[in-house]
Amino acid sequence: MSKTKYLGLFLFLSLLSSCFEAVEEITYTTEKAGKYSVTINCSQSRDKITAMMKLDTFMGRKIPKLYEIENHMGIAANKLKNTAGIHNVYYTFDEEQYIAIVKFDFDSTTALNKAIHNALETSSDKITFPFTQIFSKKNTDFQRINTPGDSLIKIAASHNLGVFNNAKVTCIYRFNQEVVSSSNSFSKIAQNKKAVMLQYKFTDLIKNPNLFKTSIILK
Amino acid sequence: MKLIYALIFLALSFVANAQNAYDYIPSSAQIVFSMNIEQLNKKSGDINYLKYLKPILKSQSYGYYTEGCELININDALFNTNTYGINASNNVIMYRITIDKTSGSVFVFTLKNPEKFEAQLMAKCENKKSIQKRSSINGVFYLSDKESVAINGNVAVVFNKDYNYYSSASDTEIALDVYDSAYKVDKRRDNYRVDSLYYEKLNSGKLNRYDQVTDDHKDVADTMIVYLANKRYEEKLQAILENKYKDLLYLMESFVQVQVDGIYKNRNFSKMLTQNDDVSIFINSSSMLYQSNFGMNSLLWGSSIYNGAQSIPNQNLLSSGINAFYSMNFLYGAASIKFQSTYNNKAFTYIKSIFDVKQNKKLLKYIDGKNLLGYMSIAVNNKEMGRLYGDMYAEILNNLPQVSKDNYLANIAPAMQLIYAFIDKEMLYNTIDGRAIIACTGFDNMKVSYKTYKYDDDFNRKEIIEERLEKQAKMLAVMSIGNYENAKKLFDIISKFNVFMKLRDNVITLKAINGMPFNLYMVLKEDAFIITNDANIAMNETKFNNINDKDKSNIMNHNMAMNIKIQDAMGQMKDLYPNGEDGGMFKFMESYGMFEMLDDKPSDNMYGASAILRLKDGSENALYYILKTMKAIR
Repeated sequence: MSKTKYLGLFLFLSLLSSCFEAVEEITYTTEKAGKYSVTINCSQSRDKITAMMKLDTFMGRKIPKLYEIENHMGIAANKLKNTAGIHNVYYTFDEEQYIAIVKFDFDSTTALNKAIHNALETSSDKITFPFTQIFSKKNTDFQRINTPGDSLIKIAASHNLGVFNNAKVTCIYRFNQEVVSSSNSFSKIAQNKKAVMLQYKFTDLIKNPNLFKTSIILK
Repeated sequence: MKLIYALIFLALSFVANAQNAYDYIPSSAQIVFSMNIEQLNKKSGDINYLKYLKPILKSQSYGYYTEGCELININDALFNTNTYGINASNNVIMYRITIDKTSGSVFVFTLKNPEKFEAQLMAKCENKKSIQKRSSINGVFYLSDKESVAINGNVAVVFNKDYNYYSSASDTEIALDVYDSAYKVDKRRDNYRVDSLYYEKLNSGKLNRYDQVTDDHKDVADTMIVYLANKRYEEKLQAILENKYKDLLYLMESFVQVQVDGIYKNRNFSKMLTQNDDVSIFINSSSMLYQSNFGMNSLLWGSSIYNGAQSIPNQNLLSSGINAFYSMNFLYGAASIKFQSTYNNKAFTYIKSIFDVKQNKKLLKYIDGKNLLGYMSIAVNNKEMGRLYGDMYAEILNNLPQVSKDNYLANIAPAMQLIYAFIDKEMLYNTIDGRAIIACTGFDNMKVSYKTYKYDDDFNRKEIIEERLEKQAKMLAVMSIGNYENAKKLFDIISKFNVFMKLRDNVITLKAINGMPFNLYMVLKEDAFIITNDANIAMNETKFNNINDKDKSNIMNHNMAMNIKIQDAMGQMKDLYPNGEDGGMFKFMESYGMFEMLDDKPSDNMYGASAILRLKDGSENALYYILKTMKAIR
């Protein structure tokens, strides 16, 4: 399968399912190392997806087969496994509920950034993804600096955003130190003070990817 | 004198008509697909409709076949009839045929300019050696493993041969086998000679320069052995090709001749000829049955019947002479489809009794006519249908060729009869008696479950199942009950399966299964068995009497009636699917009015139905509109 189709796979979830939920979680188990997981849950739209999966193409776009989605996840997972400082890569795709999960452990935030970049690169051979440092962690300072894959966001933004009205994105950052403050107005700090959660409407993020930017000060 | 002129004119027009592509179709053709290219090209406007016909037009099972040569691209030829010198005003025909172990699709074109057609052959051919050109009094022939073309006067025939594992072994490989085995024998013999030479020299005491002597001998002998082996290889290859193309040439010669006993002699097929349809399909069901040994080829694998010629049909079987005919015409504002099936006298008595039944009026009260978006009503006599299939298969099994009697096949008929004797026919055919209506009665908000997440105070994630309201079509299948006692007995047994939950004495529901987003209810009433996702119908004694007169009349007066109110359905479905910036498929779907299908009473050994798809606007051709919709969806 041509790599350009991977882009189709990525877009497939968002374009075909107006109701989806993406959850990104970073859990620092030490000051430097931790666990990363991303979940894309299209369970709310599974009837529509199931109906559309029966077509080869829909409105000019190729509908990927389930095995193609799993294949792509496998390729991305392989890239992750081969990234220095990344361990215990795990991925799963629930074919009934259309829930995809990728998890791995990282030795450092640098390794985490590199891993996300490497996985993103598998989504297209036509679009180049310049390396961007997404996260930064220095002692008591954690930041989400950039949004990877600006090109993908531009493509998504070029579509009718009305259909994404019910889609939401959740980011959770957990630390082994207490959180003092978070710069993002969408932030909520956990009762135990050791986690920050940000919840967005997908359409807001597409219109303004800067909403992702967060600076968290730890004790 | 005028009469003589008139007779001569009639005779000439008969001869002229004989030069019709249909005259080239043998009676054993299984499926005949006919298209009026000129009409279709005109009606489809600027949209290439041929891509949607790919499954019909492409060669069978040659997807991986990349070697050799593309003799002719059918798709290209149909779209560029002028370039290929094809007479587009005459129908282009494709038929499927099986002769001995060779099967494939045959295209018949009538040509305006045979030279132009021939010039286009092999235009995209990279390996011209793979094509053999032959000429005979019967025409010019281009023969190859995959496809062959014959041109005879103003008729061209293209044969796309199906892939056949047994006849697909490469000719080169077979010839090389001969080369290798003969080469090995020669080489072994020569090795003995070299050894003898060595001992001869040794015994004569002249063993000086042994290596040089044997090497010299080997050089000469090897050259000779290789030369002979090559010669054998070339001869074998030529013999294989000659033999192969002899058979193929014979086949192609038969395809490009007016058939003495052609399909045009088939009474049902000749009916098709009287119409000038855009597209028509004739299915020679009995020919298909016989050529596949009544569909029992898998059972007959390895037997002498499978390997031998087709079984000779007993023409008095119930299955003899069954044909089906479909025609499609695209008009301004509407598309019409007609279907007709023809039976022999013996089978037709069964058909008449199968359809000699009216829809059960009592079923109508379960259907909400006010919100009716579509329905399909069917009324057949299950008992008579069971009798037809029982008798038909008993006949088929009893009429298998005698050669099969000496093997296990002889036991199939009595074994089936034995099983059939134990079956309670009343339970099988009269519990649900063959009368049913499937209906969509609008859209309603229904509870659907989905997986999502909730987070505790420390933002730990937990997967939960939640419910939300989603617009779903209210579907109902209501079936007439012939024997309530039997139905109750079966219903009570089914209720005991743990996948069902009993809600009332006569209502069960399928427990939520992964992936099933709605509740499915099964309800047993005195006069009907209902399967629905509409809780109102299932749980309440809801009755309706609001189906409009036209629909009621269609349901009650036809054995098969179908109506989809596309315009109304689309109006309710519009917000369920993403449309994209340009309105997507719904922009086109909203332009459809309705689809209706009604059957005709069986008569004259025929049973058939007509369907019509109406557009809201009559100013555009239906084909163009359908293609535009397909383009938008795909």
